[in-house]
Amino acid sequence: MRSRMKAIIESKWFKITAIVFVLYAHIGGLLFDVPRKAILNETIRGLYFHVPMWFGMTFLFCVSLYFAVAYLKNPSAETDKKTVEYANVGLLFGILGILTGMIWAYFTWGDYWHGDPKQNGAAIALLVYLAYFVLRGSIDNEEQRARLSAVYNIFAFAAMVPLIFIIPRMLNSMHPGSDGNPGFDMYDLDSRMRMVFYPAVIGWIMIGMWIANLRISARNLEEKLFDLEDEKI
Amino acid sequence: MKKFNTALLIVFCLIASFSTHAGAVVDSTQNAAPQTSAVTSTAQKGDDHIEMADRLRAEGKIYVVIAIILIVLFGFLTYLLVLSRKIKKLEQMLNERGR
Repeated sequence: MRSRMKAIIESKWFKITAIVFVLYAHIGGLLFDVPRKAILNETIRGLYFHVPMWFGMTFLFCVSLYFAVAYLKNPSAETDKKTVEYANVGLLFGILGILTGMIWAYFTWGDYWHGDPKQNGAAIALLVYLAYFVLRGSIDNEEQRARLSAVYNIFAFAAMVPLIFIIPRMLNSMHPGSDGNPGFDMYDLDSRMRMVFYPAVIGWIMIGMWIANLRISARNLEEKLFDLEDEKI
Repeated sequence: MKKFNTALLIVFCLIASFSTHAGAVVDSTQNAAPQTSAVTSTAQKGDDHIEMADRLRAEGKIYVVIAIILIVLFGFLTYLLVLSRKIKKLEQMLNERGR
């Protein structure tokens, strides 16, 4: 499974596609027509960057979850490594998502932090995943660390789902797709925006996989080097 | 079997992220249906009602913005490629040496 994913991610077409999609998202995102919405004005283009960060995070956390479950079924250091690194890159995307959201909120909603349910939910979800890394750091024994953090990973994912996807939709929220705010509770996600949005999402997900793959390879290299040094001694 | 599992995993992850987020977008688009048509009709009547960066585009300054953003992006992507190549080389070296 890993070598198959590795082969795909390291292939030339994967990298080129990822780069092309992301470039397209940036250029098209700025040049193409967008719906004219009051209050949002041109910031609606932020959709092409802010939302793909969250898609990317969700996808990467899914992959991390997969490896966490795989670890519990079949413990191995390799699987543990993959679990961590995908969670790592997922967290990075999540942080970028929150930051981009905060800037966008400042200029459209009036404040960096609006107390909006989705903002709060996303922040809490990120804290939950940060705690995953704290947990890992606090355990010395490798096997124990891997096992406990794999279990925690599952709970973290289970917490993230309602925090980001379910609860905000049920409450009054400024975010599109939620009950409430009549002013701008929807984006006209017409075909104009979809044309840039979907490639952006796919491109960023691919970049996230690429980065995670690099991190895993780097850690493997580190380990091999340590092993070699140990042998010499 | 392995190929199938890989494909299944990728499809699952994509569906998971798309359905959870896209749901919001699709729902809001559908909810917006009556209002959207109102908005677009007003938009067609007088685009000046809603301020956009029309002048920026007319003056061609949008291309300056694009150039700046692309420089940053190219820098980042180049770094990613260089790093990729470095790690690949190291892996090959270690593989040859180890065996």
